Amino acid sequence: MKIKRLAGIVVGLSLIGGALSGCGGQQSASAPSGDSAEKQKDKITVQSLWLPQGQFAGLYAAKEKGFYDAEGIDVEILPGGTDVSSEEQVENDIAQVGVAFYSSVLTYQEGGYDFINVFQTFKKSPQYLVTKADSGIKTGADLKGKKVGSWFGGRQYEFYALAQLNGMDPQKDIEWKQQDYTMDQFNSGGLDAASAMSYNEYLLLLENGYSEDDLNIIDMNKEGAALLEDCLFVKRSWAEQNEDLLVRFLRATIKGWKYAVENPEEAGTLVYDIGKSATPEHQIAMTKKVAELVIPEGSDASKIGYLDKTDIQRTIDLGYQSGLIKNKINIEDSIDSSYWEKASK
Amino acid sequence: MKKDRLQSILLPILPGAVILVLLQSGIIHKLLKIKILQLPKPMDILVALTENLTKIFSDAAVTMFPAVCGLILGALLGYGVALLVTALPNGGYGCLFIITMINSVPIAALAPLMNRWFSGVLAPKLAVIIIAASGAMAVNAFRGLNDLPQNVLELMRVNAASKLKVFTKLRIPNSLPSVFTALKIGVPAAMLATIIAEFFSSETAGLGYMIKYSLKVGNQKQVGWAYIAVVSVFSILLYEVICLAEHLLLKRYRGKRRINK
Amino acid sequence: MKTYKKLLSSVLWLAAALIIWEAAAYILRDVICDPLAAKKVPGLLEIGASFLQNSVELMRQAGVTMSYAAAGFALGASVGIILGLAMSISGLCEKMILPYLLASQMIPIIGLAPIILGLFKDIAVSRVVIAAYITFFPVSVNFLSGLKASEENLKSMMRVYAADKCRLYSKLLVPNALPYLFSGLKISAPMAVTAAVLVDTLSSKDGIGYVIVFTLYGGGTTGQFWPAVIIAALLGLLSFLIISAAEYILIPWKRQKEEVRK
Repeated sequence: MKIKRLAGIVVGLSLIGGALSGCGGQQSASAPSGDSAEKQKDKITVQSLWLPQGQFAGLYAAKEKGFYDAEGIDVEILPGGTDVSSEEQVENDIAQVGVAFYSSVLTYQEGGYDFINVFQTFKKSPQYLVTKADSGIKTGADLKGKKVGSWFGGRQYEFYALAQLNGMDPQKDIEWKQQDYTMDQFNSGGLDAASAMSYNEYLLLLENGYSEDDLNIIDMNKEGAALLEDCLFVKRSWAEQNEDLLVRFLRATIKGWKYAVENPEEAGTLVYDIGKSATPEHQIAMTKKVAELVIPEGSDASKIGYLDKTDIQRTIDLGYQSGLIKNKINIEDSIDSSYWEKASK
Repeated sequence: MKKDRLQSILLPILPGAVILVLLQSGIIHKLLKIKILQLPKPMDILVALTENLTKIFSDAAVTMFPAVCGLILGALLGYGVALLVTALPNGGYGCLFIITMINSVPIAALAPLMNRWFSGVLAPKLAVIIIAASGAMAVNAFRGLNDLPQNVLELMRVNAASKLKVFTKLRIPNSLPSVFTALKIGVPAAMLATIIAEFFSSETAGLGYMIKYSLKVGNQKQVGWAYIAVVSVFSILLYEVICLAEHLLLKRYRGKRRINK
Repeated sequence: MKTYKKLLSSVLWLAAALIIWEAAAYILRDVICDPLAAKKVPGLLEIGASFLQNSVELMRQAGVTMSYAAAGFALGASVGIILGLAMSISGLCEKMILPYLLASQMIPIIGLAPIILGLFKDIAVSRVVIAAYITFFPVSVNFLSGLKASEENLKSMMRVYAADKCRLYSKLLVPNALPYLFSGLKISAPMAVTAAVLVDTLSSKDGIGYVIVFTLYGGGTTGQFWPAVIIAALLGLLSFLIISAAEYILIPWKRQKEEVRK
């Protein structure tokens, strides 16, 4: 009996050990090969946030129009998924450059990932809260006691900041609802105010029977609650070792965005042809909206990707106030504009 | 005897303890090159757990009620289908196909759909769990109801036992072990279904909601893993309850059979 | 049961299900006039039209998902069988690892994905591994309970004849547990498909899950969502049928028993 028991322990433990060591072996075998291939070809993998859509038009334009090729870089753009974040993909070296919300990158930086934001794609927050015109909800202050939809997963903090700016306790004064990525809950009255991106869900509402007069928009930029969203981030160590490559990549990306902003029809169609997502019209409309975020009023093409320290600092401050991050991250640890400066010359 | 019992409690804890020590010391992280944030150390998870204890309990209540109800209702549904298929052997077989098909619809597609079919927060969740839990039961119970000891069946045939009698005296008792197997598989299926349904729910509470909420934010992953640990503990508890019920019920049934002999 | 009767029954049930579906679609659309009718229960014609429109693309995606499911299933079922055997050979081993196997199933893909992707650095391999990860548990539990169910008296009889453990397993326990193993496989094969559908969304560009999630997020339960869901269900059924066929071929004694009964 004792032997049997002992055998049991051995089998049990060795199974666990075997599983672990098996995985370990696999890992060490595959890591170096990826590294060497990358150096030979100047290959960069970009982890996007989502499937090909106007939101990323500049990247796809740079790829399809040969701007990356011209810089001697072979770029692959991985579409994003629901269960995997750009931050993890970059940390795992599956991609070298990630597209993510700067507000989200901040949380990973605080968690110990040594990322730097090297390119601030969107200068403004595209986040709207949309209400029906007859609801009388027009500003952040009107949200008290209302049912507000958020996508959560970090996206709620911009609204927490909004609530705080209006003197509310976000946990008590607003009834939060999880919103799916459709507007069905808004249509059926389950939400008083629904999350919508200026470049996507808001357009979908307009495409599906609402007119602009039917809707009120609470714009995070006007409310002073804007957190910066789409940016390009890399590992600090990777950037230091591949400075030239990163600068060339950013130079081509700036060209790509300039092209997309100036030719939204063509860029939108091009994005649609890659992903076949939604309709070409929707992608063109999205690219046009995104253009307003990449080059807002008063800015110009020379500032594409520019890291504005005022906006960055506001994002850090609001993120700290609203509980997104527990410590005020030092701006110099969070961004590095030197690569952009070299690329934009 | 005392020593045996002690061992039977301690030994199952042993591998867990070994894993925990290896995780805490960072050996597993180093071996597999996992980042601390991707899989936080046990002590950090424990800290997150204690810091959020009251919230965790209220979230657990939100999740476990539909999970348990859904598991039971799904099991009843699955067993009912198996009974039906067995009772109408020629007419019922296709029903197994239908339930297998429904069961193959991914939960990530089912959950948003159920949100549209049913209103409120509880009904859509329950529907998803019932569907997830019924498939394993239907297939397993069908086997239990039909994979009969031939000698007993022959004996009942010779004695001209009615179809009903074959059901109550032979088929149903014979299906019990399979029922418990199905319940055991149903536990993780139902729990996962609940978690995923909560990803899509409009509710802002529950273990699944909190897992999604925390794992997506870079500095809150230890909270997410604390919730995963809680879900694991609850499913192990649920599993043990089923094992206990199996033990008690099958012991009684086996005892009876011995007397009948 | 004769095959054609099974077939007939399946066709009848399927027809009944379709009629109920169409009736529900009709009532929602034309009687209650629900504005979300097309998102809740669209008419069969609409689904069929959307299917035909995209059939080539959908079939290609189905092929991708099915190949991941097959690979994940092969890996997961093998691990499940080994674990089931190990736990049966030693009750202690069962006590020691079963709770942890169960706990392992509770880690959602969103928590698991970064770890697995970090380990293998490859999306395709990770997709297979995660599909296998979801598959192995039902296989091992079913196989284990099958091994346990092999009746005690038969076991002791073999012991009387001084059969060693190896022969006990190969001649008695494993053959006896095969029907259990197969019902485990029948449950887990569709699960492997579901798992493959789930991991389709791991930053990949193809698979039925990719179609489902991206239509879902791009407007909800409309358009290609429906044909994609139906294909996922059919793939599950297909995997179930493949295992049933394998069972029919591989364990002839069960078939013979059934024939005696008729």
